[in-house]
Amino acid sequence: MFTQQLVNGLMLGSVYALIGIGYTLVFGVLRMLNLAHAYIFTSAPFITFALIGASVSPMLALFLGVVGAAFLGVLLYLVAFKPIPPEHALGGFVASLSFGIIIQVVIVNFYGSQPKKFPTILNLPDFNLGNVILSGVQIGSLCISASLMIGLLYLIKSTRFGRNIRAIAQNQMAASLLGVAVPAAVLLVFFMSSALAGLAGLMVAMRFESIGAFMGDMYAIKALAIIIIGGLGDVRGAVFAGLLLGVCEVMFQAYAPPGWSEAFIWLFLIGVFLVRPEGIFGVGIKTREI
Amino acid sequence: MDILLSEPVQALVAINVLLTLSLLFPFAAGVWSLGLPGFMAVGAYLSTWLTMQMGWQVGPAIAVAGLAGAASTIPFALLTLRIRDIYLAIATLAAAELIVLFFSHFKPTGAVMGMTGMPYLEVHWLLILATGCVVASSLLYNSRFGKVLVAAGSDPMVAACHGLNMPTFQFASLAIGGLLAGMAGACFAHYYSFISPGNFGFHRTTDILMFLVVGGLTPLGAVLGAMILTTIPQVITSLEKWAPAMYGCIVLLMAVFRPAGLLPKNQLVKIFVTKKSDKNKSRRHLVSKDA
Amino acid sequence: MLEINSVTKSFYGVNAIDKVSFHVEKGSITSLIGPNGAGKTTLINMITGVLLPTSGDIKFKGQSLIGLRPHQVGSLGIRRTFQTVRLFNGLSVRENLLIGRIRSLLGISWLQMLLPMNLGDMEGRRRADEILSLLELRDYADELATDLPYGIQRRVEIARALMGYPEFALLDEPAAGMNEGETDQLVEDVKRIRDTGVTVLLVEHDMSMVMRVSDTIVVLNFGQKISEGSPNYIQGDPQVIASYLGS
Repeated sequence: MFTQQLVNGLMLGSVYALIGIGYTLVFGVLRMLNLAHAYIFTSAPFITFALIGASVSPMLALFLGVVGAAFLGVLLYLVAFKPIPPEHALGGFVASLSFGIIIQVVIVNFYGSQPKKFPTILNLPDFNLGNVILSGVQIGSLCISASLMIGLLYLIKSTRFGRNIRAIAQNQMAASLLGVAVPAAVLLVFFMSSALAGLAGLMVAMRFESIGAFMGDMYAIKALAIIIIGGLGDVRGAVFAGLLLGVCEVMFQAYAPPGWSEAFIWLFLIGVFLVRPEGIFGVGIKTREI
Repeated sequence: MDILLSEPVQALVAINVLLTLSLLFPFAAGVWSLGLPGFMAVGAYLSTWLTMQMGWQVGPAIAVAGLAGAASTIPFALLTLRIRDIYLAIATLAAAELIVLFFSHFKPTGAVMGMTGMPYLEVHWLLILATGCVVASSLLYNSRFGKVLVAAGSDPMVAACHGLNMPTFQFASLAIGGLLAGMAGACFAHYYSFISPGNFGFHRTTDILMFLVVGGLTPLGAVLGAMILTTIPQVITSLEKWAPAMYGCIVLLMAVFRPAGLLPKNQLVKIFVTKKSDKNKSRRHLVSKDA
Repeated sequence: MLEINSVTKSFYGVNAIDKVSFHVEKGSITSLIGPNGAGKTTLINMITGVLLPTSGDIKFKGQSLIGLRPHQVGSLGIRRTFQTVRLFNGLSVRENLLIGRIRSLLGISWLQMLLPMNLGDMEGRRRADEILSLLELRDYADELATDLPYGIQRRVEIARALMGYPEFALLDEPAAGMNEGETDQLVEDVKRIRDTGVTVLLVEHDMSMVMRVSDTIVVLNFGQKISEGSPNYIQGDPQVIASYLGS
């Protein structure tokens, strides 16, 4: 039973982590929070759903769902972030929120606000380990998430692109003077982070075999909390905090009185703010000095 | 056009105006507090308890609800001492969620099912209250107190160097926000005669935030933003489903073309002043050229 | 009036300021000049209490300033401006000047706090008008401060420092970013300020401005004082010329 919960927790955690990585990457290069992220998460399963309904082959539909989400992210950047000057921090916040809400309203108006059944695309067998039943989708998701997380960590730490991103995160002006193609890098970051969000959305859709216009909301707000806890801008933080909190949430859900699994994450977040505002891996982003 | 004058629309506008004003004060002072749903919920539930369980009149209940809203900003105020800007926004969001979560599980207030059966509040009272708050907010915003808030929002460090105690004023701006939100919550409860935790979700915050961003960080701006964006979907009723998307589009356009909003700081003052000093300036320019 | 006595400031073994001594006469305009990195702002920060000297003493009217916090230095009658203009966005010029008159929510009378700025506090408004006239800012009094041209904003910044009836004004690069016309105006402004009885210490790069406005010039390079004297003297001093042109 406990192992079952642990696996569930890791699964939830990896969804959080993937969403969180997306948020944190964008924050790193733009110093702004992409509030449309949750809605891009939601859009991917719907794109896939729509394509399957139009008789596109399921595997292709899955792929296009992720790609569609990625391009949606690029559009988001061009429309909501690029035109806003950095001194209007609230502007970027609100513009991305607006973009996201537009996506959500579109989905609601075409598909209603009630959850819909998501077709079973991959018929993966369940695994039996003692008295633990792990669905094939869960295992598959965990494997994919794990490899993505490791791959991204490697990307950020050891590749040229990763160094570029870190340079931009530290000092955009200096980075561009040193030859980093900043606009292209930022676009690529949006592409990647949205693809991750889309993938996370599809994983959730396949695991629970249901999608809804509002499915992203809860994940989004919690993932926001997670990147703060892990440290804004740090991918390791997003991974670590995401997994940790996913496991905790499931444990609270299983063993604690009702309501605590939700409350716990907010309490933890506020605790982090009071004790160590820069987060676990964060380096302390000072917003104002003399 | 008569849809605009219909009671439900008036009520909604009045409540939204109150809520937008409640967001205005902290944000104008640089305090990015998204605690609105929490304070609103406190006001709504408390006033309901007062009128239903304690037999109070609606009027006093609203007043007390406002005070309770203001009081519940105290823990939020403590947060402002440690964090700012986007971090504060997220923290206050979390704290507000906690408040609403509490009510979702609090049996005496109906938990998830909510409460119903409150005494009805007439629309005209709502309008009177809203108008009174608009007038009071404008006076306050233009007073010395208001100037300090604007200074705090502009450059807290320099403001502090001028001897202004930043925490005190930030707390005050939060409290005013809580007061307004609490009253709005009470009005909401007694006009619609039904409240549940679902009414106090993140969506309400995002709507109000958009009203404020479109209107601009001044009382008149807030009112304008709230009025325009609330009534548009009502007027074009077929578009009501698309209301949030419309808000979204408008906000996006504003963010690109007019990031400060429709009526940003002292814009009205500016219109009157520029006319007067334009004359003086052109005279001055000639004088200094000759010298 | 202000005495800098053998002041040294070292950061991790490097002397940003090395045994600098000079004094500023009451009622004069003294300029502190030197190439970038010479230590000028460090010295200003030590006078105003932002930094603590490693050794040496700074005396104002005979009283040591060492160890005092910035607001304490301020209350002794020393006001300073910063290199970057930081006026309040959303407030008019007059309001920017008057904001310092409001103390705390608990200190000021409630009535005054709730009144608009054009009512009450006669003393403050009179002083603001006085300064606005002195610096020829009357025409801009009710305009939003941050909408004004940079040169005018700089004047407002100085005006703001004058509100508290300072005896000593420290102006940190007031001519930065100004064009010729604006600099001319600044020279007049500084002279007029001095004429009202305020002692001025100026940190500047703009040589022509410094030459026109100063009574005394102190030259720093690499943290050390290399010359001191009247503008004519400084212009002819070979050491000064060498430090600016390189050796």
